Amino acid sequence: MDEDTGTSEKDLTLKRFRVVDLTRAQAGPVCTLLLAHLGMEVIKVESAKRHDFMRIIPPYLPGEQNLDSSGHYAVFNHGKKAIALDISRPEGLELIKRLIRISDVVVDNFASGVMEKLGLGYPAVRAVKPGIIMASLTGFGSTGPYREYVAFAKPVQAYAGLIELTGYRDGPPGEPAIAMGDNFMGTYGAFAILSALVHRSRTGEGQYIDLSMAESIICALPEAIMEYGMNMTLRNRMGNRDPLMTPHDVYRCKGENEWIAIAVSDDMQWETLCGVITSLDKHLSRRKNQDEVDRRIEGWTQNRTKSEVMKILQEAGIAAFPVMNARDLLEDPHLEEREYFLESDHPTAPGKWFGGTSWKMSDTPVGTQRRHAPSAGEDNPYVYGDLLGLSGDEINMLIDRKIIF
Amino acid sequence: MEAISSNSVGEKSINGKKALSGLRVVEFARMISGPYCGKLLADLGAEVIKIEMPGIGDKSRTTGPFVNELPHPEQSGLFSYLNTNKLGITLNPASKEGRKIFFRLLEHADILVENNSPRLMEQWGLKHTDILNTNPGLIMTSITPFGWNGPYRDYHACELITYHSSGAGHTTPRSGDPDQPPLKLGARVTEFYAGMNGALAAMGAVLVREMTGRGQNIDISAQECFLNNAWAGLPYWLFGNELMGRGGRQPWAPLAILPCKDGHVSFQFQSEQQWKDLVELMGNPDWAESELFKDQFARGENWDGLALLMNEWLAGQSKQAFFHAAQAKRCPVGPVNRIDEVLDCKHLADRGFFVKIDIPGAGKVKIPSAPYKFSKTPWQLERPAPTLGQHNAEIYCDRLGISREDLVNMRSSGVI
Repeated sequence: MDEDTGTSEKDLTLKRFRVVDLTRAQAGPVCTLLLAHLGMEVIKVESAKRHDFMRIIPPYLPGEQNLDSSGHYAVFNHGKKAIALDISRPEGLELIKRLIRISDVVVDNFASGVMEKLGLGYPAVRAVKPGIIMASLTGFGSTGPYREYVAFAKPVQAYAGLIELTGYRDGPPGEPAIAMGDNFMGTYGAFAILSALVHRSRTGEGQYIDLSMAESIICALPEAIMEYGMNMTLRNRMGNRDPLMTPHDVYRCKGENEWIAIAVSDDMQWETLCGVITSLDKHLSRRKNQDEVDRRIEGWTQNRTKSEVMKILQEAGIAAFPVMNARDLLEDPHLEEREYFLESDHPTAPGKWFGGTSWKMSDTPVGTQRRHAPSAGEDNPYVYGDLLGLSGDEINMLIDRKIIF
Repeated sequence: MEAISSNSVGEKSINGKKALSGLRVVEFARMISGPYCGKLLADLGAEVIKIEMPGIGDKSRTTGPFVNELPHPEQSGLFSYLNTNKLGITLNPASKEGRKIFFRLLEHADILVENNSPRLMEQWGLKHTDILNTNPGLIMTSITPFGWNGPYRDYHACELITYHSSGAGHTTPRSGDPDQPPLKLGARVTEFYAGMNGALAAMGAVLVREMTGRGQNIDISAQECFLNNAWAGLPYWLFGNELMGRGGRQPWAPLAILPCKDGHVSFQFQSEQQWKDLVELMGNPDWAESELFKDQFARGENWDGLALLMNEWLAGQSKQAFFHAAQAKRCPVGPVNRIDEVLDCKHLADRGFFVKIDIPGAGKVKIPSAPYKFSKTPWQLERPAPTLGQHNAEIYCDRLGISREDLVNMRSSGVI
């Protein structure tokens, strides 16, 4: 964050909102990351006994391997501040309550019931700060018979129905590499928190928000859900194909593991495609002869690079785009021109790599307060000293007693 | 729709109160990304006026599911889901008169949601700067496949394109033959995710406006939204020079989908205790004591053999019974559910997650409500998706003061 410059730019971000972040792993950190991107002050709370386990997940940044060197941790936690505190002891609990008293939002992604055991259930938190917005992010939600089930993204994505629908035709269910459920719930969480803040700004009223990862995924599956509700039919796995559009698939291009995605939505585009790929016959039913159509398209694409195919087809008005890999993304001129990648000031791995934002606001630039993910306890002096007003002696005593780390 | 149950938060919801009451939204969008953004706002109480082109309407009206696969513009399942709680009018903003009315609607709006290509907006005479000039407080949320600038800004795209442009497909699926093609997920997740991010950013801008009094424009690229979801591969390439692909072996185990008696189950284990508990559940087989499976990394290394042994045991297990037995021991396991199993799940029923809407010709059909429960301002289903032009008279005559006679003229000239 820039020093006070007196410009109006910094006033436009939401830095006056403070978020107490009790989350770890991915769903919760994504939620608070998005709030940090809007400029909010996010204070991540860890303890030396239980730091965010993402800190030890590979791949590691260059240099020494330590609690700050996980690439994943860096991506999901930049822009935040961090303190280390043992909230399972009374003095720690008292300090976290003092922090909540001067905050607007509390976010946790513990299993259901853990916050209550810690003495931080919603009624306790509300008693400390009546206008607080508290959001709990769990796998199955905080009510219902499965509320205490252990939940990580992959089993929850399966439970929610997404995985049964994903896969090659006649193949087994396919496992995505991404933890989509974490990002979906984290994003819904940020949206819900902001909506609750809008409500609070008009009424002064805070509230509790209960989020479910399973439901976050199911909300994106209406077509399959209603297909069953309306016709009692279950959709099959279709690979990259589509119930309505043909051709609609990925095709091999020149090079190793290089592919292009092509989708044709109407007859006009189909005729255009037949004009470009002359082995295609526009009179042939493309629906009935899908396999043959795909073979002929691939016969044409496999002798060309994916960027060549993209340019030719896009100029003709057809939706075509390379299947991007990590290298493509980092070298992409479009993302470069849009300044998608944020620049990191990480001491061992500076440069453009560690994150991007999902929106560009004309008057409110991405307002993260820091351009690297915090070390454990990095902001202890600021939070305990400046914000909570503890003296140096008090802080040292708490350190000796292992309340603060 | 039931609000959050009183026992979980110690207070009852107050019916009728909504988080976004009073916010006025104009939606000029089609298919999923923009309409989903509008739906999220409408479902929390914002007044959303949805503009559709006269005659044809939103493209999702021609997208199924339909009863018996018979297309009908008022019976699309997708349209009915995406447009709950909205008011619907028809308007052709590409016509001179239509454009004037479009700008008049914006004078009273807090938020415009649109997902048209920048090129098309210019062709229609709807310049971004003109739109923002109608009203200093206006927040313009634009959701497009690749954003407003850069070489791909006018590229043609759909779910398949934006998904694969994010990098997520290159690494999917995580199991099987690495030479198989990149795989799309079995739903239009990229479109939904872009809509979600649009709603989030719009709410951020509303909070900013409360401090400054000023609106602004928000440029959302579906590619960039989903890229934020598909980060995994990037650090591997940057710091390990390793281009993550498909198939192959996971670094630790079990982290996989395995077949069982009546389907598949998904495992994502994170601790040794979870493994010990699973071994006990499997009846402490001798092979579990082998050095080959001594910790999660060894199990990852020797996964092929371990998968065979686990498959043998799982062949006698049904997925739901195994799910509950494993979860009782706190093992992170999930059944690969079919959609009918999701719809029938008693947990989701207990939470009141599915609600029913009326679709002409289909009767009552279950749809998802929302993935969040607010204690004070609950999600509510107040009205079904509008029929094409359903609220023309209400908005044009009552709100904008256009006479009935002019309305008839506008209709005959194709403006509405």
